[in-house]
Amino acid sequence: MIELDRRHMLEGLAALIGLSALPADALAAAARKPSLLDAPTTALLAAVSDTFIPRTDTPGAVQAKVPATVDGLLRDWANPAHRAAHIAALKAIDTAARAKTGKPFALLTPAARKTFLTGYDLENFSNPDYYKLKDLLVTAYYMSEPGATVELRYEHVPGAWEPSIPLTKDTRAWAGHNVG
Amino acid sequence: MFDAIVIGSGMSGGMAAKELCELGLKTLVLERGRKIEHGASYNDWMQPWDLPTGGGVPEEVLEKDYPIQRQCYAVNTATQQYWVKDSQHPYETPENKPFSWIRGYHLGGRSIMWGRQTYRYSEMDFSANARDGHGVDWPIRYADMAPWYDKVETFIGVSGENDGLAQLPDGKFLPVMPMTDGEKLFKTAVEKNFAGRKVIMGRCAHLTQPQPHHIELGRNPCQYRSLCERGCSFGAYHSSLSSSLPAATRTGNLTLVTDAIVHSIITDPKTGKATGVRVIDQNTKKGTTYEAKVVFLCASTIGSAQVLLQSANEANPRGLANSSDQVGRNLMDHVYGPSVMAVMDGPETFHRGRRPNGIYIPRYRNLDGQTEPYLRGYGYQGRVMRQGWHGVAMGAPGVGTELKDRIRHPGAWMVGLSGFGEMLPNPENRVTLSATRKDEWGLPLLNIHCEHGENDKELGRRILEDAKAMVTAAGGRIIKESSKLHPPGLGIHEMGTARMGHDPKTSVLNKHNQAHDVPNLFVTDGAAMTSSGCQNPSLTYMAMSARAANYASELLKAGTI
Repeated sequence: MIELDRRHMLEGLAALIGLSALPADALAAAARKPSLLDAPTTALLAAVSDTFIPRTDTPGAVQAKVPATVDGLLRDWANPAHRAAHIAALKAIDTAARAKTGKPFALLTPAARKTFLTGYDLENFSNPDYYKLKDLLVTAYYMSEPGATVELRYEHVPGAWEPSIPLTKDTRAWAGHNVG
Repeated sequence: MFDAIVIGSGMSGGMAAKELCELGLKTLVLERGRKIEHGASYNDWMQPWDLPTGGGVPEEVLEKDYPIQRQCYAVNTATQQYWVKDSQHPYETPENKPFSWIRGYHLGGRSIMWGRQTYRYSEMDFSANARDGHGVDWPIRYADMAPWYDKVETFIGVSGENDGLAQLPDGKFLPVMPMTDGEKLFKTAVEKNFAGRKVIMGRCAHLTQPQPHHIELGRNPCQYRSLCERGCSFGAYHSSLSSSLPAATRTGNLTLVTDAIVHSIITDPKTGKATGVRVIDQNTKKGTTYEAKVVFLCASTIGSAQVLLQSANEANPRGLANSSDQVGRNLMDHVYGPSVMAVMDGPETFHRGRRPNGIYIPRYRNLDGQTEPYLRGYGYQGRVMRQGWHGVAMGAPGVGTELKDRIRHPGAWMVGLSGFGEMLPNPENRVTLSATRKDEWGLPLLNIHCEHGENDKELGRRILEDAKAMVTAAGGRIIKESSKLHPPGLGIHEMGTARMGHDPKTSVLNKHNQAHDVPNLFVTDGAAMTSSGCQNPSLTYMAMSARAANYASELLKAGTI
């Protein structure tokens, strides 16, 4: 149903950052838990996530497994009210896309998704349910290993405090917690 | 029979135990919580993507088990093991008068999760009550504390700078953690526009350059990770686990018993002196009594008041050491909550590493006499850094490659300031024992009644007003401001429930932290504080603990207690 070839992208990603080195038991544990979201909702989540954070010279949201991470957060972290609100906010994007374009969001071309979501994002920026959903998706990406280490820069043990370093157009932001 | 029993293994108890053991006293430390191990119990190895549920504690767990603790900034899945379950450790508050009691029951207590800001109280603070008549006069002055501040700072290791300010005395410091270029700019702007205000680098209990006595204890330099609240396997900040308890242990004089909830301090009806401590094992609920010549109560401000009230007996119907009726009263915290954030122009530079410390603006109001329409004053903690990825991501609309590009680059300079104000002592702000409700160990629940007074609320308003003026003077454009006072307790600087004073009729402890009523009982945690200052108080608790331990040892050796 969706155009995103997850397997292909994950293989590419694994080569890029050594995902295959993730502990097997962690992967197995994650795989054992059933998904919360059904297939169409998962496809919508993947399409929305990857429209927010597309693949560029670095991995996009789907390659960083944002859909699976968010599924896990909705299942294991969110309370029932917030879970329902997040899912409703996600489905509201699809409803609006159908109304405007006549097609489900996930079936639009990447360019059409971006055009639609850019307008929707502007209109809904002060809508708390939408804002929280976007925050969840974007945060899931930048806290992932590819988001933190391939797109941004993360040092678990910086070892030093350098209060003034040059800032150029190539300087990447620091990932992780407590970085400003 | 021990020479000394120390109740509590946190910031104060750890320091008391270290001193007593080093003075050659056979010392028993009682900790109500479970045993945890330095290093082995910590989660500081977890990378962002390793954190269970992304670092957020499941919301239903927060609602059920941590409705109070969740208000603390440091609660996440990497630190969850350190916070009490409110569901298991309830307390009463009056309707519409919340008090946020943030705590952890485990070896080392809150010394594991503390904010590590480390400041001396000044002569102005120790004479504050005498000056305006609120509370009773402190029976000590700065000169009494100075040598103990020296000793404790040297032992724990404090990064900072001597700034030459009377209201924030200099100390024994390791190299300072330097300011960012944005902070230097902010400092220049504030000091130029506001006479008498200083922006200094925060002083924190981190080893920027470990000394031989730190290295001997296995402590290492700060790695600038800012994962501190998880516990630091490098032992780079002072905690009971990294520093004071290892120093106590190596003397051979320390005995440590965990899972031991204090039921009461036992006294001899003939002499009135403490003879020991009765505890309940938190798991088996079995009772045990330990005997000692001297007792140090370091169970935390509220916990220590609780123990004294629980220790009521025929001779002391209102609770132990409470002939003054001041035990449990004068509960204070710092006025906390009002804050601002602003975007600021600044140099084209960045920073590397996560500095676990910020800038500090020491108190500048009512320094040389009463010059303002309100009493006492306030200081600020803050920082000026480039906005991190999350703020950049969520601060404006954006989708796709444009959003990704925006987040990729460090954000604008952001200044954040948060005030800490001095709360006045008020005898009506107090903890008492519930008349009806008990916990699962059969001990009465606490009732905490605490609210901000008019002066406290006024400080909150002034904190916000001044913060806005300072960031604006530095060219800041305010993007967020909060005028809300957090409930008392959430500053996590609670103090005052067994105050020191000259007069046994109006205070619980004398100038040596010794109970007026019970000569071999010392209370050396935040309970002893006669006024609150506006500085982070842990250093003062540790200095009082060390000072009292040395005094108690002299009395024991002289045979007078």
